[in-house]
Amino acid sequence: MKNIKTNFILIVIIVSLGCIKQIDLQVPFANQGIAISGGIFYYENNRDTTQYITLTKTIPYTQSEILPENYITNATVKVVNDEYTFDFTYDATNNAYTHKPDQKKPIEYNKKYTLCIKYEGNTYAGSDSMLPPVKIDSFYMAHTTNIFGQPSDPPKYVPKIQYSVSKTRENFYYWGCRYSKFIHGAPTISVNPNKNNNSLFIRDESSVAAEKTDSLNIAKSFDPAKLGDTILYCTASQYHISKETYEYQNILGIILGNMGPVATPSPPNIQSNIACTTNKDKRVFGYFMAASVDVKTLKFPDQ
Amino acid sequence: MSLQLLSQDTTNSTNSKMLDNVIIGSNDIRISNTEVSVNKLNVNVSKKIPVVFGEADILKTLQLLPGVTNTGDGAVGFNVRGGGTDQNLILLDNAPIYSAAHALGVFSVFNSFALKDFKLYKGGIPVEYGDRLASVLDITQITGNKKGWDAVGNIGLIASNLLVEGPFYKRKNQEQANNSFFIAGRRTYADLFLPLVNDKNVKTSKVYFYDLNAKVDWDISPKDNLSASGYYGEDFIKLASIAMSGWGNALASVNWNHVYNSQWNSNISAAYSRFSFYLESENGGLSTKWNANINNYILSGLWNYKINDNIKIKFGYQFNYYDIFPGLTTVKDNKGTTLLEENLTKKNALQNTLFASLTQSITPKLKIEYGLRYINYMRLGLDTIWQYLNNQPIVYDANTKIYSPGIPTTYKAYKKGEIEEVNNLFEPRINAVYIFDNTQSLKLGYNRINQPIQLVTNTSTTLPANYYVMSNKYIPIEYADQISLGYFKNLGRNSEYEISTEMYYKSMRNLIDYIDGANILSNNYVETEMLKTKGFAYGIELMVAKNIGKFTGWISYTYSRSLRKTENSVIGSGINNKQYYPAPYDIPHVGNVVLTYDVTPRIAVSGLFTFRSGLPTTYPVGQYYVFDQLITQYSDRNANRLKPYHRLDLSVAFKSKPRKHWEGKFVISIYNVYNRLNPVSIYFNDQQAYEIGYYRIVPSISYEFKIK
Repeated sequence: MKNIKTNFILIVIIVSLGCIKQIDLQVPFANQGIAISGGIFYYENNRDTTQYITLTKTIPYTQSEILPENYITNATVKVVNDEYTFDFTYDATNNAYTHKPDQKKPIEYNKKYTLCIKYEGNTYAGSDSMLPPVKIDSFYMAHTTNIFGQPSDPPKYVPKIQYSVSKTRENFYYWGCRYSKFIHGAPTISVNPNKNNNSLFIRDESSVAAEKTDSLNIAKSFDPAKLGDTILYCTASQYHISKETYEYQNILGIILGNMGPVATPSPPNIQSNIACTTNKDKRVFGYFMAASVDVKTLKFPDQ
Repeated sequence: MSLQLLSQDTTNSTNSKMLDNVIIGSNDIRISNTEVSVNKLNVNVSKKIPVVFGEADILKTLQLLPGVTNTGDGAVGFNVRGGGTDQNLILLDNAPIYSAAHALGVFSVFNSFALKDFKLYKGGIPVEYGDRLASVLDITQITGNKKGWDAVGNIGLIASNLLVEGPFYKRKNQEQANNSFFIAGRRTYADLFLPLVNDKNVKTSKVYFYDLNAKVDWDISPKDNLSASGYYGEDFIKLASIAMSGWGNALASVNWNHVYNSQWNSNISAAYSRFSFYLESENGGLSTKWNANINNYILSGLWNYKINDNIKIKFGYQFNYYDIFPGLTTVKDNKGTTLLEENLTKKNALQNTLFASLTQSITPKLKIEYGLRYINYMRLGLDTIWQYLNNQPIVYDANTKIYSPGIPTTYKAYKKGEIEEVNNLFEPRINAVYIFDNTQSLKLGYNRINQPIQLVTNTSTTLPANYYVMSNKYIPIEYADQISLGYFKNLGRNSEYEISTEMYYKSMRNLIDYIDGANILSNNYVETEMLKTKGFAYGIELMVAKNIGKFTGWISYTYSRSLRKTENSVIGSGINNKQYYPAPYDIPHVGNVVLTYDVTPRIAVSGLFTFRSGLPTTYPVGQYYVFDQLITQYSDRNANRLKPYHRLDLSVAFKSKPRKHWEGKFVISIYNVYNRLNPVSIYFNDQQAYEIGYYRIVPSISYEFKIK
């Protein structure tokens, strides 16, 4: 009886689920190109924030992570606007090209910024426009509700942002939220840094009301920490981004969320806003963005 | 291609069911008629071929013929000459079937006991058929035994079936009644064993299907025959308390055949077909249910008139009403309160068709059949047609080179029955045969076909959840032109060998293909996810068959291609930069060897080997690192292929000694003898590739019996 049972279970499993086998597949590696990501940002509250741009070579699909030798370290990287040139130098600690703004050459909004890179005899360029900042009016923690407006059970907290939005045009934002926990009295030592980080790209249509409350749903319960031992920080950053940046990041989100087997559509490939101006056949991936940022931080004991 | 394998038995009833010798029916007709690109098979052929789980299946047999293939194990449907699964018109006693598979392709909906024969038109399609670009599969059910009652059945590992037939009323001393019926039922019972398992999830799961076939036949007079056929089938899958799904077909048809005199005859038919599907899932105290269905009502008439031995005419009409309900999504809480109800717009259309053709012998060696089919297709309300911003249902962003749905602005509402749009379509058909002698001929066929409904799918595998859309302002009626050329030759003293070679070229327009990353399920604005494409297919099909003797079978090889291209009129870069790309079912090389050998009158062995090129697919070809994340870079669509499909199946049948009231036969078969995992799909996760296949080696045993 046991054998019969086993046989039938096997048959049912075969019929309903089929067989899945991990294989060693010789996936062809497309022409090696370069990937560029980063941007230039205007920080309303902290104007000397370091700017980062990362350059890497593309890697085979079978490689599980980016390795030190995949970083490009010998390129010339600059960002220019109609007034200034901002030089970026390679920073081995961060594996990125960095620029520390100074008051003589301030980063300003309402300008177009162009990234210029020289690498192995080729020139790469891409541009984005920096829009003025949209301020976060208030930032607070709120109880969540389900999709029908009923309070969540068990209750969960989400950080909420309130901001003023222009009625006159479509606005696009990137919201980043960083959730950190510090030992009380020793603020430079972080426990579980970057925990529960989340980000969201959103599109605000011009028809929405002027005063609008939206939420960035990180919806995770906070770590139990004894009052007095630790302090929680939640830092929200609101990036006012261009429509092109929003669309790029939106597609990027689709690609990242699309890995299913049989019943999912082919994911798209995405076009970079950076091109090789000296050789059109050179593959370039990634994106250069310019955005103005408003940052608010919540500090509260975990209770 | 005209392979005609007919049983020795020439009656309609199941008297043929235990007779396995397959002989050529009428090779002279194969050589001399005007039919090109046609396969006819008696259902007994499929009974001799080894199949998975020991269940004879005509669709599996069909896929061993040249020009016919599918997208692998578990695929629902089949592909003919580079066409999609939705481009095949499948008729069961004149009623169309919209999904021909049970258990996600493990079985077809056709109970082999209930079937008499089938005819597959791959090209040169006669005027009485239309509405699908690739093929017509016309299946006839048996007529019940008019001489007396009997029953046949089959007991298999996971399914069994039984057919009972006989006359309703028969006078004493009357050899044969003028009426008969049959009723056949089939069910899988693997689910009955699941409660025996300790695992709670398995215990509460269920998977089964059942179906019923029936037919009543009545010779009203020597010149009139009336028959009514029916089919009902349902599939059900429940995975613990996570999800359950069901789907099925319901068909009914009434056929009246009348012979006026030796020159005139007619067939009047009324048919109804329904395919329905539902999916229910449970998550976080909320249950979501999705319902969809398609209904089709058909009334048709066909008249044949023989003017003389050299000229024959046929003409007729068809009335076709489509009623498609793409879906209702309902969300309920655990108390049963409906929280959300989203209804997709119903689609209705009325199609009236007139057709006529004439078959004429120009000379004793040259015969031509030419005809015309006229279609009046009307889209009807109740419906809502949206207008989009800048008149663009789909928007192209030149910066990112990405398509996205257009923004609906206003709409036009149509009342119930109100005409949205009218299309008048003409389809010329012509077939010709040149007969060299009574053993060889050359045939040429051309047809144009329009297809007003299309299946919406964005996967290579056709799932029951895929649904049909009707042509409208944004989705034009697709059409194809096909030309076929074939050479047919019979060899041997009794024409026991058949050789055929066919070539074809097919051009297809107004096809639709989805944009990258499309969301098509539960979408009221499907046109915002689709691009207009065109395609072409071509191929050469070779076949050698032996139909008489202890040793029978066939060897076939097909080379074909099926390619697609985004129309130049479409904005943006299209799919693969508007270059031609392989259709999801582009399978260049297909080879089949099917052999059966009668060792003794009571023992027969058979085997088949099939080989196919791998299915087109899209591989990741690299990764790039941006914004602290590794992003996968994909090849052009369908630029790569899965590994080739091949498998060997073997079977042996032992017949018991015939008794007065009982005949029996054991069939032992092994599907996929060398246990190869033939992938139907591949997916990638964490830098690893995973192949998905359905069956490895599947041994099975079944017992077939007949009670007389």
